[in-house]
Amino acid sequence: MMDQDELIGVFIEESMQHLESIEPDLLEMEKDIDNIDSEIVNGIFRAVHSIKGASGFFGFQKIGELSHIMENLLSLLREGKMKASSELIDALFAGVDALRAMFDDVTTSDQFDIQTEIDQLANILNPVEEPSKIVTVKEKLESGKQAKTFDIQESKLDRFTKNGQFLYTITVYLKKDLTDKGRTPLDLINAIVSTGELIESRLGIEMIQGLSDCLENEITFVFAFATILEEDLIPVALDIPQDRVIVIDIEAHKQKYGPDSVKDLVSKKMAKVKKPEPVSKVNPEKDPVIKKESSKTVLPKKQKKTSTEPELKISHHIQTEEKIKVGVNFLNDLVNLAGEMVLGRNQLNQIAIPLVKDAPGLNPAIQHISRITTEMQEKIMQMRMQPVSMIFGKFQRIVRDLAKNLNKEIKLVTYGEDVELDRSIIEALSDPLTHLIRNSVDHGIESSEDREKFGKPKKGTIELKAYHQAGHVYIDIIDDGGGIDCPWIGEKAVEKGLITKEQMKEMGEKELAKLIFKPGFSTAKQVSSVSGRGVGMDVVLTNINQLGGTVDIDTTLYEGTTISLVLPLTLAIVSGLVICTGEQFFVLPEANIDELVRIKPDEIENRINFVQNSRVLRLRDMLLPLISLADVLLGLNQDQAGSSTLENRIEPVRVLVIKHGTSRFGLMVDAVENIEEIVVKPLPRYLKNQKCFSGASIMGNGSISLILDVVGLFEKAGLHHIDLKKQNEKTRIETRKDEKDLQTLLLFSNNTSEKFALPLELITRIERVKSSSIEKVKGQQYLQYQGDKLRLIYLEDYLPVEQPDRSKEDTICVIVPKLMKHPLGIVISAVEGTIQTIVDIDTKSIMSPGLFGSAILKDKITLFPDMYTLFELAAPEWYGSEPVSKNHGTTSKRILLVEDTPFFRMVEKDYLVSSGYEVLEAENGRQALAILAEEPVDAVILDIIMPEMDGWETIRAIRSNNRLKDLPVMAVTSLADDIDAKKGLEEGFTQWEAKLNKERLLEKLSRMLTLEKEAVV
Amino acid sequence: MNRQITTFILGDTRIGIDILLVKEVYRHMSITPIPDSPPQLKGLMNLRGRVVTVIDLNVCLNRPSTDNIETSRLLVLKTDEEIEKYKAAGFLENIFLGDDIVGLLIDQMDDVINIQDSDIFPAPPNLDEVEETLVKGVIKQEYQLIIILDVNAVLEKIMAVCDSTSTQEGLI
Repeated sequence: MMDQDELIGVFIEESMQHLESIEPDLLEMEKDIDNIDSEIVNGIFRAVHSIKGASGFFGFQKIGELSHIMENLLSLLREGKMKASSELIDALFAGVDALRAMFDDVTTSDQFDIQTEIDQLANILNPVEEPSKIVTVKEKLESGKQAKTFDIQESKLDRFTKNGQFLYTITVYLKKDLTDKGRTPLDLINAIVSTGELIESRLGIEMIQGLSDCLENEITFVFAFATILEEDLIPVALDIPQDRVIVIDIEAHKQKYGPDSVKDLVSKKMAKVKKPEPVSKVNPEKDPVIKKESSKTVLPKKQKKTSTEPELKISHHIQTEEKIKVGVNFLNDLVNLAGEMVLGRNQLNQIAIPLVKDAPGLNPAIQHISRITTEMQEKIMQMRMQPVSMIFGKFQRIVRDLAKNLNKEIKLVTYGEDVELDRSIIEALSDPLTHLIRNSVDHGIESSEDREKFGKPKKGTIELKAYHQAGHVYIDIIDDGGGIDCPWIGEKAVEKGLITKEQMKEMGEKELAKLIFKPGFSTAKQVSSVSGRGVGMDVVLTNINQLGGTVDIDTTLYEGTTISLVLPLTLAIVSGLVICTGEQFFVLPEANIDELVRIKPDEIENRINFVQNSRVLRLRDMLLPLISLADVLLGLNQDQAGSSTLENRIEPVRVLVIKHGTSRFGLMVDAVENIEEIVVKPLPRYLKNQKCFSGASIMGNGSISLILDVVGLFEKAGLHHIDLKKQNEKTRIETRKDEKDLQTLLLFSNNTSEKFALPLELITRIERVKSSSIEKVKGQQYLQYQGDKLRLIYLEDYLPVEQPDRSKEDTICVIVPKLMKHPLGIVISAVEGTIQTIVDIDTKSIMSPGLFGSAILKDKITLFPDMYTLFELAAPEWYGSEPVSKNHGTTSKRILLVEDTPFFRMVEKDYLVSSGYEVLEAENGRQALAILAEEPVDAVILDIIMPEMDGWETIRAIRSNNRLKDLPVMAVTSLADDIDAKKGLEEGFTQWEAKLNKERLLEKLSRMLTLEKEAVV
Repeated sequence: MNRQITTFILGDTRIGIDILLVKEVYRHMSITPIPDSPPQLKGLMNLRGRVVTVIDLNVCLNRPSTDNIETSRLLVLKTDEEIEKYKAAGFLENIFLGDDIVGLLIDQMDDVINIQDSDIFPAPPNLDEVEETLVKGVIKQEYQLIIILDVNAVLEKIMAVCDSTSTQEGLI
């Protein structure tokens, strides 16, 4: 017997589950009664069938009886032999309720009175066969008038009475009431069916004798009608005059069902019905006719239903798994304890593993504890997880109402309702998501007319999708609406002063679209009840960011918009990267990290640069501000960050590229350890002011690590919050500004330890030749070069440098200089590369004739040979010249030298001063003009390619000034092309000369000064 | 009223606090330092899953810090929640420990002594071991003086220090 009892328990439990699953299915069926999903019917059928089967086995007759008839009904429905009707669903509901009542007390279920339910079901199943008693009812009229009578099945009448419905006879004149009002009979039928039940109808054709009568005598349509509407509401619902409605007297009939019996029924049902759920929730939506009427009709109807028919399928209380309420704090404590348990387990493992060998049985025990701990932690975390359906559910209604409001047709399709998120995230997600959905309805989906114009389906679709990807939960809101007009957004943003016009031009579609998330931007063209409620999209972004999530937007004009929210699974547990700096571990939330970059020691030089004392990282085509975590934590800001040196590192540099809003920066750390799931604990109040940390976490080894706060780091490092684009632009400008001082140098050596450098600009090419191909003529060495002879010189012959070993077998390099009348090749042993750098030439510490100066390049003292002097020393017959000053008496001429590169400025100044000129210097055209405005100058030497204001602009400015238009101006430039020279002279230059040709420069200058205006090529 | 005072030693000064404020005395300390924080804040420690703010009491009382000495202990204080019942019963008054667990780093533990409220005297004006504002009173015991620390004032001082460092930062 024991077995039997146990089995009964299982049977009851299972059956209750089946009943629970039937209810929502029935509701679903009712929603679209003409077009029911066969899957749903199958589901209900299977559930009822298994109840029937099992009840037979246990001998519960009544349950078997009821479920049998329900099954029959459902099988007809399933085979399509019967159409679903609201009566049928009502009957099924009644059956389900009765079954549940019986399962509540299964042992006495056979004493249960289920005759009503069975009758109701049988009626539908077999209306003809049912020998139902026919009752005649008549109109309730003042005596004297003839009352119309109708025949009605008693069972039906019983049902009406029980459900609190009233019976009426209603007379409608087809012409007066319908045709004249522009209604069709179908309209009327719809109205009747949606408000009540048609019992019987007659068309009053007996009054029409012939065709002509049609025109004079109205055809009447008389019908008996059962509804819960009260007498005075019927005219409103059916749009007919009051006097056509006559109440049918059912008082006499009611006697049979005394008030007591009704009460019994109610109390019987109420025992298990906790909260009556008004079914009317579904009905009004399906009642288009009622809807069209004033809302007055709808409301009383609802009230009516709930108050007068409590037992009508109200008991759809969905019973769920037994639950107890637990406070969130309690849960949080449990989460903490679980975390602690994991720590304890880890510690135990560490201690116990070495002992395993000596203690048999210890290992399995440890593993057992280990597994249970992990499982327990997972389960506890799961307790906080809730499905997104919790919030998705309400959007159907929101979309429906809004769409109606805005006169749009929109359907909302949701996917992935069972994706789970931490409770706190779910809660915080509700508002932003509502806003996004509202936005899609309001701005996304176009009006039906517009949609048809664009050839889209009339009904717009909004998809709400939740899914897992890469450890995050994605929620996509996809609409097939008009998309975002990005240029329009851009203009709007410019108008509102959120961005500048220039920025707008630089922005891509996506960036423009993202502007809608900027504070102060509302895409609502007008403030409607839908949008413009003070919750802007910026709030959405902030809310999502606060949850540790991000928002992305993807839009195509005329096709639609997709907004993706990327969310962490839980707030309490964060996936973080454990990093190490200065022997201390920190955690950086993974969500903040864009990528990890490892820079090998030999790449450091190329990839990490300084721009105005701040470190930047070259990452593909971007320059990112680079800060060192150690520096920031010590409170050094970015400008001081140079203190930690990167030179001569043997270890690679590890950089985390951090996302912060729209901008990014590089964070240098000593080491990257691993990714860990960490439990976030709030910081004690004493640390609330620490900008750099957002929380603390207990690591696997039991120690505490601080969780880094990206925003705080960013601020503390003194980085400026700038838009990514703007940032790029800015760095671009900075590099350009920088380029004015940047020079490309050729580094070479002479087979000794000494290093040399020459500006690449001065060199035509570098020839690699065999030492043996050098020919000696009259003590001088020559090389055949491009069909001509090139005299070679050796640095060691003219400069105080070490003597290299030279052998005939060596391959040597010959530097062929540019722009020389009599070129000399400089023999070197090897080219070491080129470097682009800002040269700070020291002209004092190492000086000798033929040497321009020295500088430290790549950590080495590097000598800068002065090519011109070298050539002068080597070939005085070609390069020797006399000081110009001799030609000009005592008063020295004032020359304004305009040159941006300090190196050339220095060299040229040197030429000029040594020839007795007085020199004023300017770095660019603007400075030059400022000097010219104030100082008298005899001539100008002007470079062409300069930042801020180039030579072309400057010469035009000079020539357009009356006082200066005749001033001699010589272009000294590396633009050595004849076309440039020609253009230069046309633009107003007096002379055109190539850079670093001392003799020509001085010669032309001198001629220019004497001849003044005369232009000589 | 009869009171129990936990006493401990900083350098050569004997200091006491009401035992009702003490949660426990902790020995195995693994403290995570907080970069760029005031010296009074020694760091954070994990106490069975809860984060404890470790305060270097020596620094707080303007004494040289005594790092890593063998006898060092952490005097872990209770939180407001935990002392509420004592406050309600009238054993403690005007003490606010906050919601965060604070641990005071001390040089060495000493005895717990039983005293009467009447044994506590106001601090003499010439007391130079501890700032006057942080002293609640003194107990004369045989030939020794025990300074009763005003825990509230100590915590307030720490909070003030923490606040001021951040304002300075803000100004930069």
